[in-house]
Amino acid sequence: MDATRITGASLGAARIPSGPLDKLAAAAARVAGDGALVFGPARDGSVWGWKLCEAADVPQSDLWERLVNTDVSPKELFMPRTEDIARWRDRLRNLSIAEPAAPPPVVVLGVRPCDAASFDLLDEVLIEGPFSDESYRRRRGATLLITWACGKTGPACACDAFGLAPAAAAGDLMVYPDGNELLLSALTPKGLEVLGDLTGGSTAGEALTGRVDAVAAALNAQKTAVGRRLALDDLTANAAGLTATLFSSDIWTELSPRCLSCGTCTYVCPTCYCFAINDEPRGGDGRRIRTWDSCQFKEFLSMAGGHNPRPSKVERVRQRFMHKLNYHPERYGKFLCVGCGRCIVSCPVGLHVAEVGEALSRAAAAAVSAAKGGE
Amino acid sequence: MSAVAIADLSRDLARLEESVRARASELLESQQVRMVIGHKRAWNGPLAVAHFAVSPKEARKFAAGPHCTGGLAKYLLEEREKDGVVAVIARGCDALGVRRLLIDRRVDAEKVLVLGVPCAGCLDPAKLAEALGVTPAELVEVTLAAGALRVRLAGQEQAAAGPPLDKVLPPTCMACEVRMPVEVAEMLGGDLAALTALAGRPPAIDLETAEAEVTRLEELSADDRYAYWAGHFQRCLRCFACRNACPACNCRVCALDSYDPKWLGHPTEIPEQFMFHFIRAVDVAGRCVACGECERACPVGLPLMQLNRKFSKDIRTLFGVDRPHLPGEHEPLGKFEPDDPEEFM
Ligand code: SF4
Ligand code: SF4
Ligand code: SF4
Ligand code: SF4
Repeated sequence: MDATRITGASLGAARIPSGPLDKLAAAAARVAGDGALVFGPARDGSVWGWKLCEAADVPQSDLWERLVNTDVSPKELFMPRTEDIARWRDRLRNLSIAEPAAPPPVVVLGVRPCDAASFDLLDEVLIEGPFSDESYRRRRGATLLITWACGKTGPACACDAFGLAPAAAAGDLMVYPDGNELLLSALTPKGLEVLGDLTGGSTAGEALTGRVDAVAAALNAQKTAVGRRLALDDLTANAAGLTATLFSSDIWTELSPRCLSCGTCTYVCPTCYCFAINDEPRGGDGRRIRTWDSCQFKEFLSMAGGHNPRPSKVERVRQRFMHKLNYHPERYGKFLCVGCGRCIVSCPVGLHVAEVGEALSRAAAAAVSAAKGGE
Repeated sequence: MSAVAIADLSRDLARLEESVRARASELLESQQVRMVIGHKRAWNGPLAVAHFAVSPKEARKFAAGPHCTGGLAKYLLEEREKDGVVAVIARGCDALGVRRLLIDRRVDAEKVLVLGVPCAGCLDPAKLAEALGVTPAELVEVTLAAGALRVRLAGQEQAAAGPPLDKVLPPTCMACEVRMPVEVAEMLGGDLAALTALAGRPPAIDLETAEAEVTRLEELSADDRYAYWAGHFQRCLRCFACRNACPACNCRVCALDSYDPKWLGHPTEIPEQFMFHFIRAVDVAGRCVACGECERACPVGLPLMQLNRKFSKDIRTLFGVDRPHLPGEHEPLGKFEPDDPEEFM
């Protein structure tokens, strides 16, 4: 496991009292740029999601003592459920095409470490790979992430099973609860600017960074309930060598029957990034849009002519979990899962990355010991 | 529910569970069926998940009780092309779901064996959590044992006494009229006096109470009602869990998936969200079996049963049929009859 994903390196630290966060939000918005929008967790109906906060309704710090995490992940702030790629007008006579305007700067206040880490995973695929996803890159570049370390873990949390920890350092600025105060630690130059703006330039001496390290270490030592049950190291240690065995394992026919082929697991997941592109014409005008899509939908891979390479749930369920637990580790050396626990909570039939991960690591262990026996 | 009744109830549920396992083993052993669909304990959390046994050994995992939520009928659609009989362990709502698929001719009657289980109602984790002042995710284990509902919360070693079961049922179960399943091949469990007495009771809430929210919405101004539904629909992820969980959503090709013609636009914006939810609700109107699976499956808590209840209320008002989904009732929208007083189209 890559320990730097957990510890990070502080560029500077500061201490503020718990309570209202409007000053922090305002400082972050100034650093993020003109017209910056601040998003924070908000209840919507019976679930928690993300909402634009006006200066007056920035949440107070006790929210993060109560709320383990939002039900809907913050990925929609970077990958909206629906976004324009282009709009056209008057197709037949005098065609004009307009691209969407540049996205405004955004501050995300209080993402959890798992979700902050999910953006690092998406960045590797969508920005740092051979192809850069322009829309995602523009939104991501215009963002300032304030990450709130977890003082307690929830029953479905599983960060530690997937190479992270409850206070894993990710985003621009970390917030660590410390008694009646909040310790702020900058991980990027943007984060450091926020500290500078907030404290009038007087950031942190050695003593404070020492305290940050101590608090972070204590929070990172927490073990999650799911993490205690899962040992998945076998899966990352030799991902490439295991692909064929795991692909043809019996677990897929055993686990997939109860799946409903809905999109819930992929839509609540902060690390799933599949999308569809469709044209929506209205007479001579129209728009080309991108929306979320899910590998669990029956029609996801249907092709013109009717062929579907993943016709049944066996192939589709295998795809989701092999991608997260084998193909991605093979290419990037880490799971495409941050253990946020959302699929554990939301799958209507309780088919999730923890149960599948456990079954898969058992299959991997069996394959390893069979290979040893054969030597 | 008195304390004594609960003690008898937990004994009955234990017997029922044993009976489900034994009968399923027997049917699989003798190869009278090739698969039995029921519930088993989940990997985590208080609720059971669907279980598909093809051998007597796997039949030992079956569970029964108020934690066995999650509809089973819909799974038959995936078995329809295969040879051999599939048995379903059916609560009342499951049995109505199977009946739906039979009436809609999506499943062959010869290929299904419905094994009924009396139902005490299925736990609503959200309600239980609310009663205990925790979040649903914090419920680790819920059992009906030693005389009462017992709940173990996250971080606790021991389970403690929880509220009575009838205080933590979802509205669907409270209004349910088929806790004793109908149109089954056989009932499992033998003589279960306490459970049968409970399941045989009239629903805890009557139709009018179940429809109170619908009535309230009907009385709103059109603008307020629009705002109410737009507020909910903007949250919809378009994950289609509601459709996929529903036994009445059983068309060969779903209008929502169709590209040509494209009935539903891809934007997840308000006009299309309304279109989506109207298509879903209208297509099941009159065929909905009131199982509540759509609402239960939704990850973002959309009150989909309010739409379904609105349509069932309209059907009552327009056609005078109270419960089109129950045996013996006339289905005003689900069936074509040559002497229909209305012209077709
Ligand atoms: S695993 Fe669960 S959430 Fe995902 S598609 Fe299947 S039923 Fe839906
Ligand atoms: S797979 Fe599940 S636990 Fe992992 S990141 Fe996605 S939703 Fe979270
Ligand atoms: S619409 Fe909902 S309540 Fe009605 S049959 Fe479908 S899943 Fe059940
Ligand atoms: S289950 Fe809920 S979120 Fe998913 S499509 Fe249906 S209403 Fe929308």
